[in-house]
Amino acid sequence: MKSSGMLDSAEKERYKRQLMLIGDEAQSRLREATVFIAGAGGLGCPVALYLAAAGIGRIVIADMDRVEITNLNRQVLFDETSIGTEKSVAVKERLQRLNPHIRVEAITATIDDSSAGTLVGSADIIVDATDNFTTRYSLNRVACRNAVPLVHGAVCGFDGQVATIIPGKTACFKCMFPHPPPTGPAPVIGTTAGIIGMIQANEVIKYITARGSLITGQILLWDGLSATIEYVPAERDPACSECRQLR
Amino acid sequence: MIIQVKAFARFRELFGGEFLLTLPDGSTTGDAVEKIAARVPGGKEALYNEEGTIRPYIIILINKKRLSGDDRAARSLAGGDELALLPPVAGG
Repeated sequence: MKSSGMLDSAEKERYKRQLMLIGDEAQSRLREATVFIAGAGGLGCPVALYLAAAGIGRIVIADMDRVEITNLNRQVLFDETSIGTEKSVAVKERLQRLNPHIRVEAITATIDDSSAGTLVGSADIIVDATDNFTTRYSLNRVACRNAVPLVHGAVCGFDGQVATIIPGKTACFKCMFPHPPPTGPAPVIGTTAGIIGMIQANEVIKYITARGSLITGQILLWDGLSATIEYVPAERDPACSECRQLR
Repeated sequence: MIIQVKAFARFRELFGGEFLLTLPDGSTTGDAVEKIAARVPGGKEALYNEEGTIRPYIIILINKKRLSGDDRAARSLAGGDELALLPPVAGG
């Protein structure tokens, strides 16, 4: 992530309240960064919204679905006029209206082992906003191969989990979750996806601006019913099929 | 002996968030899981697969240390241990 180029006056005005916090140099880093967001659903919407507002220079978002009415309880970038539109395209249009200083690329495609590498491209960081473990294993494989961080998030009901993976340094997704739980449409309240998406977006901003500490080597567990957060440790598996050769 | 059990996510609703479990001395994690499964209707299906082994995706921790391999069922327990059961969530 380079931080070349000065912020222009319009950018300085737009980001004024966060420049007070992070400064021009960090803001330039956000502008030079590429973030790949896998999934434009309950997690992908808040992640994309806040990363666009923060000034991530290039956001690539991939999803294979079109907007349906049942999405609107949690996928907050869409409204009734979006129904039937490709999700990634609807996200792109919304984000470009929010922040014309950034570039958003919409991809309508399935993310799997054969496509993930190409879709992720040269992104600086990957956000897992998907809804199944098969896709997550594909993203983890690319993260390990490219040595770029992967910010995992998942939700069900009032519960959610977040973990940031730095391949070669921390437990990878496969070390954390060697066996996939059953998949199927999970019940979810929009606020859970919002909170978990916010934590993921916050991880991305911290990583790019090199501030604070990341949720690595552990899994953050959010319990919305008691409004509590707990952490469970996640260590590297020396025999992990995905990351054992990485240092 | 008495151990402390902590259940997360779906298991919290099913079994209760935190509770004490009384077990005979010399019990293992497998014994504890079996006793937890019997606490509520649906408990067995939630914790075991058709072959009768603990579902592999469930994360089991003793005193915040994760168990893997045979230890998942065979780890010896001591009074005061904390057993945590976590079913990962997958939605997005």
